[in-house]
Amino acid sequence: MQHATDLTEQEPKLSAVPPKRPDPVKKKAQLKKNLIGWAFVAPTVLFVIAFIYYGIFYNAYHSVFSWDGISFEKTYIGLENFGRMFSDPEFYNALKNTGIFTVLTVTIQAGLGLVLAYLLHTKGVGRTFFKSVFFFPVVLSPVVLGAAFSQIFDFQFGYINEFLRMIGLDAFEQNWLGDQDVALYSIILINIFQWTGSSMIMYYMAMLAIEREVFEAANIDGAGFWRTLWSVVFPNLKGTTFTLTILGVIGGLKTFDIVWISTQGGPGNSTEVISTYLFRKSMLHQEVGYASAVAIILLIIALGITYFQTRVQKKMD
Amino acid sequence: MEIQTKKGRWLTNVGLSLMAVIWLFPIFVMFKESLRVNGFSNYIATLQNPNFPQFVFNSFIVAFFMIIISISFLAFAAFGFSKLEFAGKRLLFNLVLAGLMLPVASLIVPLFFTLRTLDGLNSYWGLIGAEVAFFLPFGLMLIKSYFDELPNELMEAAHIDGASTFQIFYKIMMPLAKPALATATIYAFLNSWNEYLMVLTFMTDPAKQTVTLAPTFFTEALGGDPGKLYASLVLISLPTMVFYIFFQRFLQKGMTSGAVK
Repeated sequence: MQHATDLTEQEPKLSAVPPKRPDPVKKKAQLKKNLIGWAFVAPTVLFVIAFIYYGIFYNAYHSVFSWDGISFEKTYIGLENFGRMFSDPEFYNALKNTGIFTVLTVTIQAGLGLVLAYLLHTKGVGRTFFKSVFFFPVVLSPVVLGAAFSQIFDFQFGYINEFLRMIGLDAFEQNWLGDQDVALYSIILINIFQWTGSSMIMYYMAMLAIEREVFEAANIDGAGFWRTLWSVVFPNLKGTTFTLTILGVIGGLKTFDIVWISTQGGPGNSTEVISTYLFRKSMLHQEVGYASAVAIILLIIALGITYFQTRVQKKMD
Repeated sequence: MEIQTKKGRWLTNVGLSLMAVIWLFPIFVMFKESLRVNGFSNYIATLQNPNFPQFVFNSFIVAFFMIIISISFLAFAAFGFSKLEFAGKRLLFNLVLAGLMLPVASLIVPLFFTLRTLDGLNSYWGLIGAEVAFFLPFGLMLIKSYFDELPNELMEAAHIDGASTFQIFYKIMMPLAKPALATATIYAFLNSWNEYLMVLTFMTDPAKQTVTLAPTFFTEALGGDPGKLYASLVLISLPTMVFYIFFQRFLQKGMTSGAVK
């Protein structure tokens, strides 16, 4: 400390040149600043580390063991869990279903949300009411939605099949949640029903920011109603579309509740997604080491998406 | 925007009304099923079942503490990340934000076994802790983006007047941040009230389960009395419906501000 002060006193000539060593007073102020900052963010950061990062570490560690979660004994098996996963057709089936689920929900939700938002921007009665109605399912619990749709999709007494019979279209009757070829798409429909409102709101807010002149110019150019949406409004909402895509992909990876409540991954494994596969392996089949390996792959996919997102976002800015 | 033709206006209104009917249909189905056979006495029977108030009580306890803990953590953290300068700020912020990407299912193994060793299964605090951890990244994004828009001049002026950082935070920034904190509170409540996977995994004892597990319990306990089952579903949706009616503007705002970055 003494030495440092001496140095500053001895070098008055060099005052024009920035000091090579940090000024101790400044250093102390910087330390104080750091300490205050850390104190403010510490509870949140530590909590996230304790629950989430500890969990990632735990998964990584257990992914190289064979463990049933009950016995004290864990057997080290190297990368065998990963090898098993990549040769398990059920794992690929879950990935495939997650992919179908994600692609369909992302595109249909965005498309429907865009059209609804556009229609809500027209002048007319009840626009606020309509907006509230479409956004409403966002707050509903998947348990509630699952139960309501089980009535709608029921094979014998369900509303859809009864309606089809009533109008004489019996041929289109389906066992909506009980048919291996249909069930996944029925669940996708429930998911779209719940989340279209949020896509709609995001597009709606973004449309508010588009200048009036843009619409007027399109009008003068003779562009029709739908033409304006496609060639004027939509290109102006690229940022929102990108955000919705990313949120949709994350949401697709996270999907568990609605699948588990509606079909538990069945019939067969036709609606098994990556999250239900993980839950089944870890909690029902007691293959904890294996499930940890699956979780690690899921984490890598999620990180890959984040990396891609930040890259694209940088380009767009 | 105005539609020029009369026919166009008419078509738009019909289209929107049709969509609204489809969107309200599942809600209508729930109410209709809940009145099946016995009418309103389904509701009375559900409310009188001693297990039902327990589910509701558990949900409120968990949601209450989840909100208190996460909002107070987040108020400090959002202010810190938005308005203070300190070493490692970006790194720590991204560290928290990365949590947004993680599916609950991918951490269900570590959470379950860690809570088991700590006696945290079938206990409120285990569930509350896990729910807080998964809410913090989203909540931080939401509140921080609000702080980012508050001008720094206020803070600098207060600093010159000799106010400490904590005083600036508590006396100046907190009152200004109320709308963001309110939005985050609503989202926290909805997340906690609707949480399913964590309750399914951590709470094996029905006496500790929250409302999302009530339908499963009633299906098993009442052995196929759909009227009462749907009555219980309507009842557990009531708090979220009330929230929606009063706070939907906050929810809509939060949706966009949270998603910008």
